[in-house]
Amino acid sequence: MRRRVSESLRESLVGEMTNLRAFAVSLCGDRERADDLVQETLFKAWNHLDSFREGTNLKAWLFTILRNTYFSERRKRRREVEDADGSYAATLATHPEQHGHMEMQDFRAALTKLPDDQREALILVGAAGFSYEEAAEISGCAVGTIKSRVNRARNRLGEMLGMEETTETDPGITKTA
Amino acid sequence: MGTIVDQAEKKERRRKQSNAGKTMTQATGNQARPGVALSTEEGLSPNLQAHIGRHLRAVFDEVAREPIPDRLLQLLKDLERSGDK
Repeated sequence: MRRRVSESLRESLVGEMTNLRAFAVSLCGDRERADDLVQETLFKAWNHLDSFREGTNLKAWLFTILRNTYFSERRKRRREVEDADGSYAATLATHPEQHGHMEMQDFRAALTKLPDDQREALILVGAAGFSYEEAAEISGCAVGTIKSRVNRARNRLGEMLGMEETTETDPGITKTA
Repeated sequence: MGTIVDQAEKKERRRKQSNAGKTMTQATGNQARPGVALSTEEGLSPNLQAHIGRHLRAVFDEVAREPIPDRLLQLLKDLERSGDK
């Protein structure tokens, strides 16, 4: 019934899976759940490959499916379990295998405490290599919204990690410059 | 299930149709803070931004470097098999 998937598209799909996993883990902060997300994304993508035009941005397409899956699950979950302070992600313990130094652990913990939309924007732009425009397409919002989310995310992280502007700032660069 | 992909498709179409629209959105986004690198003036210094950026990429890359778990490779195989029928 369905068309055969071209070999090159299949290869690209496999090639994007490591990035997709990295996105999922950074987004939800939980590896088990991240792999569930990737699995579901892969399944959906596969079944709708005919709606994907080869030559367009496969990575962005896959990321879009994954974040939509994540956010719709989050909404559902929030309805089912009344989350007292609305910060489900903040309660996720860091994975025991995620060792590394304290600074990284603190960073991971701080990342999970960001509001979902801010964390998403920050990861897309700051780690996954998307432009603001691409991130806006993926998140279904305006470019300006992405920019402000990224800014707020950075500021929040700075606060949470106790980074004082004065301690590390290059004296040559000030806000009034 | 279809809606998610449909949505992605619609977005894709929109992206293609209106490059002009995109430029406008971008312009609007920039308007409030003209001319300057958007992120530097809203608080964090470039140093701190770089610091956050490094950590962020470290978190991301750590996972990206891992091999694809067997269950996902298996799913791909299963999907291919089902597609051949």
